[in-house]
Amino acid sequence: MKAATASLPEALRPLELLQGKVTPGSLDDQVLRFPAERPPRAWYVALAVTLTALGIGGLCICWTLYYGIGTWGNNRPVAWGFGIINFVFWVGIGHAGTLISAILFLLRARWRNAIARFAEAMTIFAVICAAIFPVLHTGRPWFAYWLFPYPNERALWVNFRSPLIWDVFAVTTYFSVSLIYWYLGLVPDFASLRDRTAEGWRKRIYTVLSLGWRGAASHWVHYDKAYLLLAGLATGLVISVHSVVSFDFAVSLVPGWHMTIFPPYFVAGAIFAGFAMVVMALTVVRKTMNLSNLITDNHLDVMNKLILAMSCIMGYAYVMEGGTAWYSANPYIQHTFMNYVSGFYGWAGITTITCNIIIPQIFWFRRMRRSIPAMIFVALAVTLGMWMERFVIIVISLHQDYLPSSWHKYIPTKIDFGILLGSFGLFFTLVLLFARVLPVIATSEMKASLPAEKERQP
Amino acid sequence: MKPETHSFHLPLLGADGEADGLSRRRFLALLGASAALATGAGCKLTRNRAAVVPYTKKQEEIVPGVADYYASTFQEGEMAYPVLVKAREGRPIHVEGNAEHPLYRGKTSFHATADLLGLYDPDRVRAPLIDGRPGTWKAAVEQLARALKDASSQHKGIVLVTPAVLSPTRKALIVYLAKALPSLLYVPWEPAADHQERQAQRELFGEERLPQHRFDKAQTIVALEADFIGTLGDTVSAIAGFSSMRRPASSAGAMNRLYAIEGGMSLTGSRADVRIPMRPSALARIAFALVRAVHLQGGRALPEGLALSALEPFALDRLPEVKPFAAEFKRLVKDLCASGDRSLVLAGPAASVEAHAACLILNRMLGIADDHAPSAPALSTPDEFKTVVDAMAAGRFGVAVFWDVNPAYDIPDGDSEGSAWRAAMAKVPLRVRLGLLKDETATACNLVLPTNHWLESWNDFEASGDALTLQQPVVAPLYDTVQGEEVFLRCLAEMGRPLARSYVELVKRRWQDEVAPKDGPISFARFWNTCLHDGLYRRRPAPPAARRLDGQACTRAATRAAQTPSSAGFELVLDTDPRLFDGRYANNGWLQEMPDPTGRASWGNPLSLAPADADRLHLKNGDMVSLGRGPALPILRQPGQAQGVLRMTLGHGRWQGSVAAGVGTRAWAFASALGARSAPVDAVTPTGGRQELSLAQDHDTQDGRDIARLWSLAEYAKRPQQELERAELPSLYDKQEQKGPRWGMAIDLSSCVGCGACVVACQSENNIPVVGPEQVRKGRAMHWMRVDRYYQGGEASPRVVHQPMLCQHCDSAPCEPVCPVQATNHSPDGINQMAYNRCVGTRYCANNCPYKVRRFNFLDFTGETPASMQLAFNPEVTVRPRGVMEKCTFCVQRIRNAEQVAEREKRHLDDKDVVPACASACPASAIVFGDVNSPESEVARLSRHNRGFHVLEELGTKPAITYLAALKNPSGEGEQ
Repeated sequence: MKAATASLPEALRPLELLQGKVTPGSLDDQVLRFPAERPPRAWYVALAVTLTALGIGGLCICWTLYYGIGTWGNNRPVAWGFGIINFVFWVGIGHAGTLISAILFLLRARWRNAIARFAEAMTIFAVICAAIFPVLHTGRPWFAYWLFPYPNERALWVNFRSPLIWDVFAVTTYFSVSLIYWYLGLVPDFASLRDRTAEGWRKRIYTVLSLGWRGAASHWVHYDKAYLLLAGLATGLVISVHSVVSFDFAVSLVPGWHMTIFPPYFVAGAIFAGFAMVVMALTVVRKTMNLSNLITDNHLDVMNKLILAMSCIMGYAYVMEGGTAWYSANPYIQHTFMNYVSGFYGWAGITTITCNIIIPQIFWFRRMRRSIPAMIFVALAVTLGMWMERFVIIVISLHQDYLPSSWHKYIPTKIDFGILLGSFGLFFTLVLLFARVLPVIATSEMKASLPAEKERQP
Repeated sequence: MKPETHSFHLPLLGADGEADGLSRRRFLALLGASAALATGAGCKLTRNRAAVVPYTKKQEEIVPGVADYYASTFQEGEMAYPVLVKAREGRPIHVEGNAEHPLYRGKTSFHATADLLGLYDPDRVRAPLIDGRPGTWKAAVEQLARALKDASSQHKGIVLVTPAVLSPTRKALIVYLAKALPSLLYVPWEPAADHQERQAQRELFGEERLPQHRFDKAQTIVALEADFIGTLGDTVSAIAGFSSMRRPASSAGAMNRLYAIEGGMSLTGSRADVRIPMRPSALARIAFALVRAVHLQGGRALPEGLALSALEPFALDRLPEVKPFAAEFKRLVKDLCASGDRSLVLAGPAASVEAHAACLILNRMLGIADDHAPSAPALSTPDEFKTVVDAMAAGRFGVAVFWDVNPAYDIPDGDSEGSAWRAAMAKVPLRVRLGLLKDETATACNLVLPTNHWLESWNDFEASGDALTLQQPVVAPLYDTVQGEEVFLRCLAEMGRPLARSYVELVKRRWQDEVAPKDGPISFARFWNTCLHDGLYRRRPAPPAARRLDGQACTRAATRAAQTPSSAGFELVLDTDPRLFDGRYANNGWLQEMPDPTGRASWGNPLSLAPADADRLHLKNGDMVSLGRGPALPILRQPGQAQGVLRMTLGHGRWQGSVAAGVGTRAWAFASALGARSAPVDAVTPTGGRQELSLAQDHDTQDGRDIARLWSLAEYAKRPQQELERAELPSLYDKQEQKGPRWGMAIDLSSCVGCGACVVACQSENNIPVVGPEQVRKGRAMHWMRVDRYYQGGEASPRVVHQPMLCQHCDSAPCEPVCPVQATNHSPDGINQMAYNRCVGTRYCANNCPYKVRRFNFLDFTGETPASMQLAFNPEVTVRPRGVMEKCTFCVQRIRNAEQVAEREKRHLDDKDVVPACASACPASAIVFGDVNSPESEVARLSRHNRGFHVLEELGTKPAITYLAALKNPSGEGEQ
């Protein structure tokens, strides 16, 4: 095998996806042992930190519910602020998981197997974080359920022309499909855990969750079919969710929002941000959980290449935005675009471009793609940059739109930052819990891609 | 809507004045108690016992849910404006002008509308305070009567300070009082009156008359620091007259021309066709130079006794101040000479007495008759008032009565505590305050007697020459208060010299004796009821009385003007505040929150500074400066302001009152003398501190965008015809055919003066909450109607355009499709509606509104409205809770009301029956509302006007509001 591939150009050679000897047994031992073990001290410390952040966020949310949106920095004309920025940001983070598990599955990219589970979990958690904001940002969150078209005695119906209604459908569909997809993949692993666990409450939980999985051939046939179908379904959703989120902006007539490029631009941005978050988390997980032999430098290398590609697409989108502004000869759009890079909030636009376009370019170098500090730096930069991008789109576009008399600056409050912090707290709390109670690597999929027994014994 | 005859309604509040926390149980208890009181003896709620009827028996003229209207009169300073008060279930909820009045024709000062809050002010004193403790009226009156009697018998002085007395009956009462108490010194005191004008008239004519300018006739108007649109005198009829001359039918039509020569940028300056920034100290010389030029170039004779030689120092082309504006002044003189008696030359209080004298001479030379001007109500001069204070300090007075005046706030003795004033007060044994609030003066008084609000009072007024107006109570006193006049009647009775049993009896008696036509065909009772219904009695104006100009005095004034040195340092101009006037409305949240029409600052009165001066001192908006005296205060860069001129408004910086206290800076602290309205300032020193201003508008220019069109007459004429004839924009969609009325509005920016009366009227009509300075700063003011102000051209001499901006009720409204719950939608008659109940508060509509007219309840702005203030709410309009979007509804409640009336009367709805609050309040008649579908309607005609345009029409929103381009008529353009 090696001899056969040696003559191929490097790019065409299959990746080395394992380090050292990995057998199905060693894989189970390595991955499935965590739920039964006591977490290390560092885990508790990390959990304390994330729970503190979550608590602060919770307090800020209570404050908001008690006093109203006035506790945020929102004003007229900037009616949407941190609430929608955070929503779009977290939905974006939630994109990598489904992309990895669905699209890359369909493309038979085998390297995805090792990271799919983790990325999917992050998707679920990110969408949970995202879902807080549209509800919380409404003036009367206790009536937010009115956005669902439920039959009611008042014969009131929602407005299907409103992009916010499309959002409701897009995000809830995405969340439910992602959750089912994730759970489906987990079923064989739950069975493995069930079989490994001694009698007790844990075993009972795994027994219920594994849905009577016995690993029979008929199970696998159904499983594969369901997995494939769901992958097909989820693929459409990866594209649709952020396209629909972008409609919130593209369908309006706010200068800077009303652009046809928004759907692909938002999807690319979402994948970009999601990958950065996955890389950031994976580097930590594989180190602390000793999974370097399963999640290798090659995995990270491929991820970083994707980040680089997305960065270039983002660069193209930014240039196109400017091009559209210029070509439109529309003074309002031109004014807004100039505000992105100059004026009161110009620093936000500059930060966005630096973090999203310039910094990821270091991934042209193989050494950087394989350097942990470099990739953490880039991942942090992209996460910041993508958050800033949403700030740029939402706040800068709104703060100076059509009538100069109404222009007004937007200054976020402590409550705004507190809730943002809280959403990170929630996300990482869930990640930490996940890492200890569920298999962070899809062992069943990994086993399918392990080299055959013969190859393992040269 | 005809006013109806008067009757009393039940008060909604208890006599003990517990307004706060009025529960339903308590309300019912009070209702019962009031009914019992009304039928039993000893009713203290009202004197007119017979008319009090409980709701258990339906009153003949009250239908619950149907509004009643009462004609009344509102006094402000030297003006009295006839009004029509709308009452629902016995409580006044809105004040508009009285259409019956021949001069005001349904327009009134927006202060009258706003002062509805004064009635319901929770700060009102609710029972007499004797030495700070609540007491009874009986005890209070006894104490006052005894003190008056003692002072009178011991030859100790009694001083009675009141505002200008415009009521003949009140005047008669005071005269009677003075007869009964020989040592009474009567001091009518208006700190913010134009004392300079009065002094000039005294010097030149020997008498004072109220200027009655015919703005509706004047072709050329020259305003020397005279803000006749914003603050000076009778702004209501001035705006109406001025605006009527600013809407030419076509580019060839006639239009007046306003020259404003002023230091600061006043509202009048912002309307000026030619605006010349000038220091106030130069105005006297300039005015005399105009006298000379009009004489030499226009051949107008100088007044007898004023020799040309006396005007020698005032050659127009030799005055250094005139040099930079030589061309403008040349045309000004030419215009004045050409328009002759169709001119007007005015000076404001910041101009010196000499400048006023020169203006009087000029008007006389140009043939502008002031024969019909009524004599001005007597006022004490600042010097006289100062003498009174000195006499107080010398211990000459036994009793001092302050009736609706607040001298503790007006005395400019350096620090806001007023130590000299306090010392003077301490020397008066009995200090009595008659008024609504426990204000700065009241806190130093040992007898605080709460008076009725004007909406609870009887009176009569003699404001304009051709009608006498009546003031009638619309509600029984809310608290244990008594009308000021009544207090004196009771004292007189106590002293054994009764005059009348009640004040209304006195008014009636006087009307019977002096006003009612003798031997007329109708009885007095019918005459009285008719007058009360109409709110006024028209009468033939007094025969014209010419007055002689004293030529010697003219010469003396000219000599003094020539001797005034020109100043080089800063000059401070103190103007009355367009919103708070002299401070009497400082406790009014609506007026505090209303942005200044030019500076656009609400909740405060920053010191405005020329941009060049601000740059030189490295000052930004909100930076604090010290003027060498008085407190440090924040600055506002004011484009158009003359270099070296500082300007601020009076009325702020009060230290009593839950709303008024601590807002802004007390401008009187910087005055050089009592009542002086301009003062030299040695230096402006930045202190390094900052105070964020509550600006309603952050960006001052249109940045080349076509939003508020401003053309000169020549530009208008040059526009190609096809550009003026607007075609509808192409659309992919079929045109929606729509039957029945389609409501629309036309706003003539050329008529609009930017005063903001519409803003207040809208606030009162639509229960718009007050959010406070911090929320305004954050951009969360709730005004449904706002008046945007844009500058064009350089900061040194910008052209200004005001644009009332409200929901455009777009036919293709961007806000409607984006609402996820259809809380905002379109009515069949073209109104963009808002269902508050359904609103979840996603605020998407606000983002998508290009006009940014949607207002969001970011916090609970209405929940904590004090119980008494809740009575001011219009029951026809929902009070919006937190988290809900709101905006202009075109006063849909008025439309539906009119529809119902038309249906009941089985007739077609005439669009003239519907007048939204803003249109009704607009003194310039710039806002026209009606049915755009009806081809002959006024609004349809204006929508087709060739000055008409839609704001942001290119977005395809199809607004229902058509703006008509603002016009300027600068000199010189057409002649080149």
